[in-house]
Amino acid sequence: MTKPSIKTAAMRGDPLDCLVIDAHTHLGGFFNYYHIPYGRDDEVVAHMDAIGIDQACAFSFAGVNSDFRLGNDLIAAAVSRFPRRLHGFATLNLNYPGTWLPELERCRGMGLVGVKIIGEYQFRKTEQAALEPVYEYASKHGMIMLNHYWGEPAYLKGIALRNAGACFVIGHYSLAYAEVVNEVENVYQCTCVPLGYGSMEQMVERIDARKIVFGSDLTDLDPALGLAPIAYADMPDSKKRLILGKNMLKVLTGRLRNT
Amino acid sequence: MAGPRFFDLTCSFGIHNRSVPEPLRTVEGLLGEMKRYGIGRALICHAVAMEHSPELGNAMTAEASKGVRNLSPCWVFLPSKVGGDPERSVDRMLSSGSRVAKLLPQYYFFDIAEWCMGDTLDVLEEHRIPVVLDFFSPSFGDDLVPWAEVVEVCLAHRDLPVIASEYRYRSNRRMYQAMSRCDNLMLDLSGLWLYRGVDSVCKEFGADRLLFGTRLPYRDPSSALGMVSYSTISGKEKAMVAGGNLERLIKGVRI
Repeated sequence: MTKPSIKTAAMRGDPLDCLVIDAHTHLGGFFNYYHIPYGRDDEVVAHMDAIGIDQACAFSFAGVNSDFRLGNDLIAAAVSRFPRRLHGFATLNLNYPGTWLPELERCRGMGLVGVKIIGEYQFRKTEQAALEPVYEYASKHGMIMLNHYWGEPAYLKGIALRNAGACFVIGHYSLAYAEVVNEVENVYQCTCVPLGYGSMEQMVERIDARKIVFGSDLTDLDPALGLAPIAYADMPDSKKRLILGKNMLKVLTGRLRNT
Repeated sequence: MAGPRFFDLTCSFGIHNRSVPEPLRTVEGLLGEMKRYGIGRALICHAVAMEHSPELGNAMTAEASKGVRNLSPCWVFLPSKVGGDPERSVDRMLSSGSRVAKLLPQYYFFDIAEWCMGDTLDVLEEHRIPVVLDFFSPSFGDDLVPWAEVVEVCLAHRDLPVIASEYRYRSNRRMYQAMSRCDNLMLDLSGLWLYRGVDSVCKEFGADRLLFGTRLPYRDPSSALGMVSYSTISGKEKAMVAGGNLERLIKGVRI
């Protein structure tokens, strides 16, 4: 029997029958902005199963605007509970520059593989935060850096070229970095979240599909909110598979080349 | 297996101020997109009614949906002093075939409070006409719903089916509390973006409190469709959210 298309599976609400890696998720179960239903780690993994999300890159809520150490500990605990499903990212607070490198060392020791930056929630801008030592650390250790907002494309291009060992992921949907993503090998664009009419088609028109990774922002946003626009998009399933999982698998396994 | 029948609560067409794709400017184009996404029926509102003048736009909505089996007109109201006598406005709405009212306080710069809309809401309540309190704005923003005012409306008009639209994200504690206080308050799905909102709202308040909407032509309808399809509620509940609730409300209108 022919396998149903990705769109057909989504229309039925069936788990997607291809590799799906969510590059942008939050765990922890609590956040000051809103109540999170079904937010326990095991409940989240069960819901990933229901949708067909195989793996997720996870960062903490606590690290966004509260105790980053607590947040990173919670992520490390979640990863140790679900090692085949979760890739842990350390969250740094841009107001505590003296803690960045020791915290990264501690987190790497706990098995975390990436770094999440979200200065907008910490009243700081990435470009003004003197994060070069963090980028160098990430480059040296082959870590993934995902930022809520990187600032000017030229800034991102500069740090990515200078720190070729790290992978830089643009955390939210944007077309402003298209040129940088297409040009610079270690820069990727996350889909999180293509809400506008035809947003996915527009993204693929401007950005090489091999450089786009799926991100849902669960347990902040509903995963279907960001997954369905990819599944329904007017593009071949082969491109959808790249975006949904294959590209991020390359990033996670350190194989960045676009071949 | 056939999925639920989708009936879109928040659909508009025509030339909006913010550019929308060409196919979505006409009824024919809209119908084509609905077919592509598997949306069987839509409540529509002309862009002129939403953004410029209900007096002109309501007639355009009614004209566009006349005789089109799967489109139903949605009627936009203004405060009575400038929008006309509520009884006469409701008569005009009902005779056009419209069974759902919409208030757009963001676009037309008025309040939904009793002093401003109480007389209109009284008449809508008398007819059990569902009213969408629509706080949509094409620009970015968090929770756009003024929950205190919405709760006041619901408590002052307990027989009025009230649907709050554009709650979006970054806060939900007010929404949960408002839903718990007002049995006649429902939510439009097109702005329900937070994690597992469909499952949570249906579990806490019942599947009869949530209505499917896409916010075409601004948003990609797949998001709302996916949130229903991938929710863990039962098939029966999905059918209610997808379209059953809106059909029930329309049937409940007293003419």
